This record gives sequence, C-alpha cells and structure tokens, in this order.
Amino acid sequence: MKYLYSWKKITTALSFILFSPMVFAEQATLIPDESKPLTISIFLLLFGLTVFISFYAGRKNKSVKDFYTAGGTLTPGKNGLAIAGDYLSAAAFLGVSGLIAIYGLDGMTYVVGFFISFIPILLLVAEPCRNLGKYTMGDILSYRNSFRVTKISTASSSILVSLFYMVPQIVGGAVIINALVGVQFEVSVVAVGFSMLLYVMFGGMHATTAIQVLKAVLLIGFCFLMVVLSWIPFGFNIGEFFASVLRSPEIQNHVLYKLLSGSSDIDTLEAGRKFMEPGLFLKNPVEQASLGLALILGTAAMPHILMRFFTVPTAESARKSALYAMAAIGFCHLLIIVIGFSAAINVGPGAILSVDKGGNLAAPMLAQYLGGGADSFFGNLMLAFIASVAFATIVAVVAGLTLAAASSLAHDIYVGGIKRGNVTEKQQGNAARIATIAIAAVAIVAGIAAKGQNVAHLVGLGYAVAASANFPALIMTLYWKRCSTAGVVAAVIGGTLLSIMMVLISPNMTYPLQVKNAAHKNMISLEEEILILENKGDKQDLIKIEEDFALAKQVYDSIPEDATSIIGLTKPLISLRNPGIITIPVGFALVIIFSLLIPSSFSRSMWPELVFRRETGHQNL
Amino acid sequence: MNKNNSEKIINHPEFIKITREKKRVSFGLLGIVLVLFLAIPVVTGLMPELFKIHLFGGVNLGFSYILFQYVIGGLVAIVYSKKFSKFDVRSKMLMNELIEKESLEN
Repeated sequence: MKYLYSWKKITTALSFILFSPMVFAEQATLIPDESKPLTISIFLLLFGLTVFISFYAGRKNKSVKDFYTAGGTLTPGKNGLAIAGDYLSAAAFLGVSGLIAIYGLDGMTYVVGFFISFIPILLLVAEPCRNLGKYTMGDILSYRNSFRVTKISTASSSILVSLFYMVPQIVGGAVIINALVGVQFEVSVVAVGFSMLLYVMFGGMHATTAIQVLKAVLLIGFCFLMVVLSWIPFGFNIGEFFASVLRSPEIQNHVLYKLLSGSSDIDTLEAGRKFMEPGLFLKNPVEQASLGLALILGTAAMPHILMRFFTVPTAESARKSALYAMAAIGFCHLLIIVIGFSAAINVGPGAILSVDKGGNLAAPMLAQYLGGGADSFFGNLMLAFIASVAFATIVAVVAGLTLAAASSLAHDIYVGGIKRGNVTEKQQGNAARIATIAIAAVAIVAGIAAKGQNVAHLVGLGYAVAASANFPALIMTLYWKRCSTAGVVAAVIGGTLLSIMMVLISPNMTYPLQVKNAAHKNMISLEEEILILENKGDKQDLIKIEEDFALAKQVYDSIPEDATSIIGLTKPLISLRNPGIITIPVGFALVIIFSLLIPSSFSRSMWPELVFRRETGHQNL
Repeated sequence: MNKNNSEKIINHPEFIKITREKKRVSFGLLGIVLVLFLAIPVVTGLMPELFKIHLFGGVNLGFSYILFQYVIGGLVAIVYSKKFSKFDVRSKMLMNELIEKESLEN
C-alpha cells in the first residue's frame, strides 16, 4: 500500500505540473482563454479517472500472465471493446473526419479500409493465434520454427512496427492538443508518454484494457451525440442531410476554387456533386490499392492487435471478440462519416482549413458549433470534452502499443532470445517493467525529436512492414506445411528492410533541393504579387506578402546547393508512396523461396502438432 | 502432447474434411472481400463515371458502394461465425469419438 500511496503522490504532483499554466504556449487556440479552466478541469477529471482505473485494475496483477494478457480471463465483449479502443486512433477520429470535411467521398474511401482490415483478423488470425500463442507473435512463429532466431527477428520487427505506429500517434496527438488548448508540444509528448507508462507499468493488460474500454465508450458515445445533434435540424431525414451537402454554397465554392483551383467550368450544383464523387483527394488508383492492401493485411499482423487475442480463454471467445470489435469499429466509422459531412455543412471546409491545413480540427470545431458556438458555455463544454476524448484516444492507443513492444522486448528478446527461457517469474516481471520504461523513454525522446518533422508516413511504413514481413511469416507458419525457419526469418528481415528502403527512396522523404526549388518558385510569384500591391498602394496586404517572401527566402537561403535527402538523394527514385503492392508479394515470395531452398526437419516435424493445436486449442490429449 | 496422437488425429478423414472446409470458408470469404474492396481503386481509376451515377438525393453509386463495404463486412462476419460454430460442434464430436474409442496412446 505504501508503494501505491507514494506513486499516487508522484502522479498527483506530476499531473499538476503537466497541467499548470506554465506549460501553455502563448498562441491562439481553438479553445478561448476564458474556457481553458473548464477544459483543464475536464482533462484532470478524465486523467484522475484513468489513474484510478489503472490502479484499481492493476490490483488484479498477480503474475506475468496477468501483466501481459490479463490472465487470459477477459470476456469477449470487454476484449472486443478494448480492441476497438486500441484500434480507433486519433488519426481515425480526427484525421478521417477532417478528410471527409475537406475532400468528401475520398475521405470515406480512406476510412473503409480500416474496417475491412478486420476481416483477415477474423478469418485467418484470431482463433489460431489464441490457440497457439502465449503472449506475443514470436510465441506463434517459434512454435514450429527455431526458437531463438525466430524470437529475436520477429520481436525486432514487432518493436519497429510498434514504434513506427506509436511516434506519429504521439506527435500528432501533441500537435492537436497544442492547437486545441495551447499546451506546449514537448509537454504534450511527455504527458502522453508519462500517462501510458503509468497505465502499462502499474496496471499491465488489466489497466490497459480498462483504459481502452473507457476510451471506446467515450469516443463512440460522444460521436453518437454529435450525430444526433447534427441530424436534429434535418428532422433525422438522412436523405435531406446528404442532399444539403450538394446545396451548401461553402462546399460548392471550396470545390470550385480550392480543390479545382478555378480551372473547371462546371456550375455550382455540379461542384457540390463533385464533393460526393471520387478523385478530389485520392488521385492515383495504384497508390490507393497499395495503401489498401497494406492496411488490410498489415492490421492482421500488428503486434498490439494480435496480443489482444491472448487475453481471452478460448478460440470461440477470440472469434466473438473480433466480431464485437468489428461491430464497435464499424458503428464508430459510420458516425465519423456523418461527423465529417456535418462539419463540411455546418462549419465549412474553408473555416476548417484556416485553423489547420490537415483538417484535423474539423470534429472539435463541429462540436463547438453544435454546442452553440464559440461564445457559448455549451459550445466550449463540448469542445473541452472532445479535447479530453482526443487525449484519452491517443493515450489508449499508445498504451496498447507500448505493452506490445515491451512484451516483444522482454518476453521474446530477453527471456526467449538471451536467457533461452531460463528465468524465474520474478525476473520475467522485472524484465517486463524495465522494457516498458525503455519503450516509453524511446517513444518520448523520438516524439520530441520529431517536432516539426513530417512523421505521418511512418504510420504507412508501420503497416507496410507488418503486411510485408510479419503477415507472410505468420500466415505461412500457420497454413503452409513446408514453411521453414529460413523462410520465416527471410520474410521478416527481407520484408522489413525492403519496406524501409522503398520508403527511403520514395516521395515521402524530404528532398532539400525540391524544397529549395519550391521556395524559389514561391519567391517569384510573391515578388509579382508585391509589385501589384505596391502599384495598388495596399499596405496591409503588402506587409503580409513581404513577410511570406522573407520566410520563403529564409528557406531558400538555408538550403545549400548540394543538399540531399537522409540517404543522399536529390530526388525520389520511385513515385510510389505506399510500397505494399510490391513488398507484400516479395514477403510471401521470400517465405516460399527460402523454405524450399533451406527446409527444416524441425519445422516439418512440428506441423502435425501445430495443426492439431491450431484447430482445437488443446495442448494435451 | 504425444506426437503419434496428433498425427493420428490430423490424418483422420473427418478431421481432414473439417480443416479443408474451414480453409475453404476462410480463404473464400477473404477472396470475396478483397475483390470487392479492391474494386474501389479499380473503378475510380478505370471507370470513374460508374461511381458518379446518381441514385437519390445527395447519394450516388460510389457513396453507396463504399457504405456497402460495411454491409459486406457484417455479412462475412455472420457467415463465418455461423459456419465455424458448426465446425466447433463437429470437431468436438470427433474428439469425443476418438477419446471414447481409446485409440489414442497415453
């Protein structure tokens, strides 16, 4: 108890530091200054609630099995909701609603992939993984493959995938919280990192599950409220709601002058229709298919998702968990789609873009509007609540990723790879906690280092690695008799390296000379504008354009003539941003080729046992 | 587990039949889902006009087709769940039968 009491004191003190006025940057935010105390109160209330839940749930932790998998005792309903809480990220909630509010139908195309990605999990992965696994994907792959090499290679790839996915979550979350309430970027990163460390380290899977369930309920509940409020003016006539998208002058002008840059001669009604048609955002079908494949197959091999299937007692519970998760995620997606269109109708794409170029604040702005506007108490109450839900969303996702990465590091690399399984229960527990601290520290440092960097492509890279390395290794181990250790290791290493390499030579990276050229072009067009404004004598606009020119010149001057990308390129070698369409087939080919070239008698001898256990879940007969 | 037992079980004709049927259901449903999902980039790339066909109000074929993916996902989940519940019963019956016959080695 003393131990818990001292931690409660530390967390209380730290929470006051994190939420004290000193941590707020002096900048304009979506939440007005007079409403910040309200927002901070709701933040603190939610934070306090999650800390309480974490400690309460953490009391159930008695063993390493409890820490990693909640003792395998969760009900399918609870686990399904936790999977939804684990999976519905800030990108899905804030990013997708923003994409729909700005680009219409193409935003919907983007979100549907996140739902379909649960089909391979349900059909191929959930039940076999429950029957074969213990704590990690490494356990499944090492069942019929060489123990040490499989564990180390799979764990390394799983940690990479978790970090690739985690860093953009933390960075994106910090940027959003900064824009909403003005909390400094670094403080936001530390707050998220500290919270996830607290939940995972002291509560393990029990606490992580509780936080994820709470977050899923809050998120779905709040989205439902926003949809109801959005539909009230339309008398819940859904057809009329979508018809109003076509008639909205804001949307029509946005399509005509922003998305089509005034180049099209279509009329306003046609412009409204275009918003409901494909092609305003996703313009390259090959890229779209590549991203879709990586999403669908990669999710089935995401370590934090796989880990959730070890928390239920039977394969039937794993199947039901996946079904509950799909129901919760699908329902939330449908709500997010309505929220996106409602934001376009009620707030307007122009207003959303003026606050955030990525459109991430569409849902918060809509919440404020639906509550009565920026000057109303309820408007700001809604905004405060959505900011807190966004924070809970980020923390819940990151906590799941931390636990998955820590289990790979401690259970696979330390216990399996280094100690060859010869450790006591106490040593395993200590390793798990030290690994959690290490992963949290790496995530916080990487998050702070990534300030100002474009890290969004890391999410795509995480999915690409999972789909090209982990997924082929997992599926072939489970379903192909001739699969061998060499094939699995080749796919894991080859798929990971190829995915990373293809992203490094893709347009995702920053190419300084291209930035320099763009700045030069910008300077020329701004110079022309300055001349026009000087002739007009428009001093106010002139000052702003001159500032923009100075900024562009600063960028131009700061980049040397021989500057290159991180791997020494002046321009991308390929045009594909999402490598999945190439790397996934290569991953499968590597398993097949290396398994046939270097067969393993051990892998072959374990096949009957694997099939028996995969199908029945029985360990002994 | 005794390796001979697992060999015996996985080579039992009924067990082979069940696992084959399971694979057919899982991979078959996955194939249907993938084809229907990848049709979105194919249609937007090759036949964009198809998705622009107006249905009613503000709704066109593209919008309906994307929403239809959620229906497909739900249907696939229901079909899979029902089929696999039946497989569970058959597997349990087989296991009980094998244990009763005491054909397994200790």
